[in-house]
Amino acid sequence: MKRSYFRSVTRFLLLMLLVQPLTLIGAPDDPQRVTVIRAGRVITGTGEVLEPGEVVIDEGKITLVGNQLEYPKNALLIEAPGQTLMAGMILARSSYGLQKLSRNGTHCNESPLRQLDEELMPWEDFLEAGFVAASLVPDGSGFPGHAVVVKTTPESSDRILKASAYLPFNGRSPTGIYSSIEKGFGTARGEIEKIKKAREKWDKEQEEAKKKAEEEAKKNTGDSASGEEKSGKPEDGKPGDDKPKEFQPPEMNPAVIELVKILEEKDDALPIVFFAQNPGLILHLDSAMSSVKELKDRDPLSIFILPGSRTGAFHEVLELLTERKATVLVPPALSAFPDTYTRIHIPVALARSGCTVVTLPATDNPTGMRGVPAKLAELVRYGLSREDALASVTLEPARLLGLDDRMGTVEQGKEPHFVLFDSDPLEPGARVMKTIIAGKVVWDREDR
Amino acid sequence: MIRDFKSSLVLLAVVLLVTDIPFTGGTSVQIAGVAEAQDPPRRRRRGRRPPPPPPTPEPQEEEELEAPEGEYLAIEGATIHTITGSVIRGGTVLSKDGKIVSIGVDIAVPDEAEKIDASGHHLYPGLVAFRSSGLVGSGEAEKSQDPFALGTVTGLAAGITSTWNGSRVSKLIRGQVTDLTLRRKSFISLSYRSGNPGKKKELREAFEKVQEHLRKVEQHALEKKDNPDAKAPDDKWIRGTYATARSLLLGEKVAISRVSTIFDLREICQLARRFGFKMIIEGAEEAWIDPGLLARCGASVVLTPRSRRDRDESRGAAGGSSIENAKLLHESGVPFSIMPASTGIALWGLAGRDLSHLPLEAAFAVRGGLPEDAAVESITIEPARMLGVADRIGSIEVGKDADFIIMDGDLLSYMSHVRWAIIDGKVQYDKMEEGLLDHIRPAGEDDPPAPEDHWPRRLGDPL
Repeated sequence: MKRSYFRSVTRFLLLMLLVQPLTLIGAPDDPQRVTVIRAGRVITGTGEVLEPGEVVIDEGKITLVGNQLEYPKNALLIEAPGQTLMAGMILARSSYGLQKLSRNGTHCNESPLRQLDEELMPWEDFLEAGFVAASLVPDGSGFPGHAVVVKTTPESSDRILKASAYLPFNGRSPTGIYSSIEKGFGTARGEIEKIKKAREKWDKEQEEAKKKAEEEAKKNTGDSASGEEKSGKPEDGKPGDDKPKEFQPPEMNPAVIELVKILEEKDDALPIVFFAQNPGLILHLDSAMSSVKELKDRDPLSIFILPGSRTGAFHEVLELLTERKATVLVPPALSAFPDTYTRIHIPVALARSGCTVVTLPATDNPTGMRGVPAKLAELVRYGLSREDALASVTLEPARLLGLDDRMGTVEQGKEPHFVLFDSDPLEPGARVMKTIIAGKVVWDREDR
Repeated sequence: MIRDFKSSLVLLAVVLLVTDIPFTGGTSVQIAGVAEAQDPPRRRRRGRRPPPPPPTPEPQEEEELEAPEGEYLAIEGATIHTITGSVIRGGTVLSKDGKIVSIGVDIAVPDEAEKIDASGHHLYPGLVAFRSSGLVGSGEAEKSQDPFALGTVTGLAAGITSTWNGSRVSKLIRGQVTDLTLRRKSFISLSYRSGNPGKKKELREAFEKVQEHLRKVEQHALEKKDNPDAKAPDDKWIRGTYATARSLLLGEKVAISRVSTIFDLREICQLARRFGFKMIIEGAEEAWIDPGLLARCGASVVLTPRSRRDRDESRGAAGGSSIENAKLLHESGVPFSIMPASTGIALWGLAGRDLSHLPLEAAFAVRGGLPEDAAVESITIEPARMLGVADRIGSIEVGKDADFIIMDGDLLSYMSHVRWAIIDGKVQYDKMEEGLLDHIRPAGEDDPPAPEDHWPRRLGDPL
């Protein structure tokens, strides 16, 4: 019901886009019209706040940000007086709405999109909370697959922002961590060995083939004595009949290709993002990773997801995380030190000591997502700056996912994904009024 | 002066022998002590840490002072209860890189040593809980321990620094997941009770059969000298019960059995004497009726002085638990360690019978007439011997691990708290820092200081 209604709204909007220029101005049909959003306030995310502010969108990019801007008469206007516009929020990890299909073990090639049912996916929940992009992760322990970043629009064409962003690694118990790491990287090592052996074999074969060809060539061109062997140098001038064929490596186990890339220190290797259900698991992970001899001398893992519960002595690992300047995906509610007089607000303590903090909803559901702005206010209350708090759901996740050149701030040249609040986003009770993806209003509270 | 590790081991063995003499009637425990001392358990090393410095000869003290390398910890001014030696008042214990290097009054301490002023305090070796659950993971601690678990902290607060978790003897070290295990240790659990006569018969027959087989093996070894083609006795059938029986008969493993009544104790002691295997008995509530019984079969005992057991009226003879049990066993020379009724530490002390009250359990045996020093031994060196780690922990001796607890009073007093717990020369627990017991008689005062800050905190306060 909801969905079909929603779809009809979108269709109506699309229709309006096409029809409006003809009806209003009567200009020649120009589907590439400029869109202008006029908001009461624009938080650009680069430290600037425009009051009022205007954003001009042309050809799918932000072309101008400012106020009292000039734009073509036939521009499509989105009026939002009294509302605050900021960059659309990005969910750094979610499996909300995906069909349950968990796989344990090492399956780095698995995509969460196979768990996505177009008919059932509640995109509206993301949009209502102001999220324009989400990094979907598959279920399961070990390496269940890779994260895929999508726009949260129901429009399925051109939805994928990044086909693989990171490798989530879930360990529920120390033993699970040790065995997953051992098995995963063990298999990867085996694949590398396999290819190495195949190459050696191929080289050997080539060598032999070459020798044979040379001998034959000698026979043909050289002395007539057949049984003799000459120690003289073979002629290099004639390459013979063996063409330099390309070495065809045997097919690799697709489940561990990503791990092979990590072992071989490839540039396009994905980062591993570890879900640390309790702080001790971080130490166990370090211990497990140090047993992988190829990774011994490299930087330890530095992207962690912390759980949303208040339990767990995460203050014990503050120093450890700070030392490696970790990126921490954390719901803002996490605080520690029960039964004492001092409370440590973990995300703020981490942010202040130099870690990169990315805010996640407290729970991976609509309630959690809608609560994010209020939780950001909590971060500010505990001493984080407003800018950093807002960046923790916009620019920082974009950076983590490798999309910071495309989104995360309201800047010239970036893609027009925005969210409009009815007041300041950190104000209690702030509501999302409109969500705009690729310059189009995909969710509007007035239509509810 | 001890020149090298080997000679220190020999010395240790001698010490064990000497200290064992007053309590042991049988000879098997002495032999066990020597065997343990000569066969130091292997310690697992994992991860990125550099390999441990080999237990090389200890350099002369002057040399140490000239080239002081390594981490020193000096605990000064405490009353040192060495357990296997004398009590030293106002003494100093110096450790280097986690091992004790010198003990005494007015000993030389390098300037850069970390110092703890423990004057007015009592220093004991870290307590050893014979068996526990929830203190250091399960199985291999390195792969199961939660390094920030509350159970570990409460264990340290109770003075426990090492324990057997059912498969490994491990230390209660916090914040790290490497180098926790002292040694692997498994016992053979034996059930030989009157409640199951069929099982008893089966076990006895298995022992007989395996003993017969072992005789044949011995005979074969002799025959082989003259006739190299002699056929070895078939041992394919030795599996399951037979295999465990063989490992017991060969002395490779120690049996452990929970036995309470004097009837069952007599039966199992008879079995142990007949087949000559080593045994640890847990419970032994009615052992006081015939304390010489356990001494004769060379068994060790794990006692729970506060466990209650009523007399079995149907048997008509003496029975039930006795407060004097520990005292009588001690007088007969049976080595024993003491454990509370619960092996966990989750009760938070409410019931008072879990591992957070290990010293109190020993104190209860003192109430029944056991000498205090024997009570302290029963939670330090005795469990260490039973677990085969007496060469590393359980007493304060040069060359042993620097695992101490520093108490603000006598260990067996209900008033005393652990002020510091030190493992491998590093402070693992400091009562005043922990927020667990810091408000109870802090530094000997009556009232805790008012907290500087309350929740909810004021806005803008430093975090």
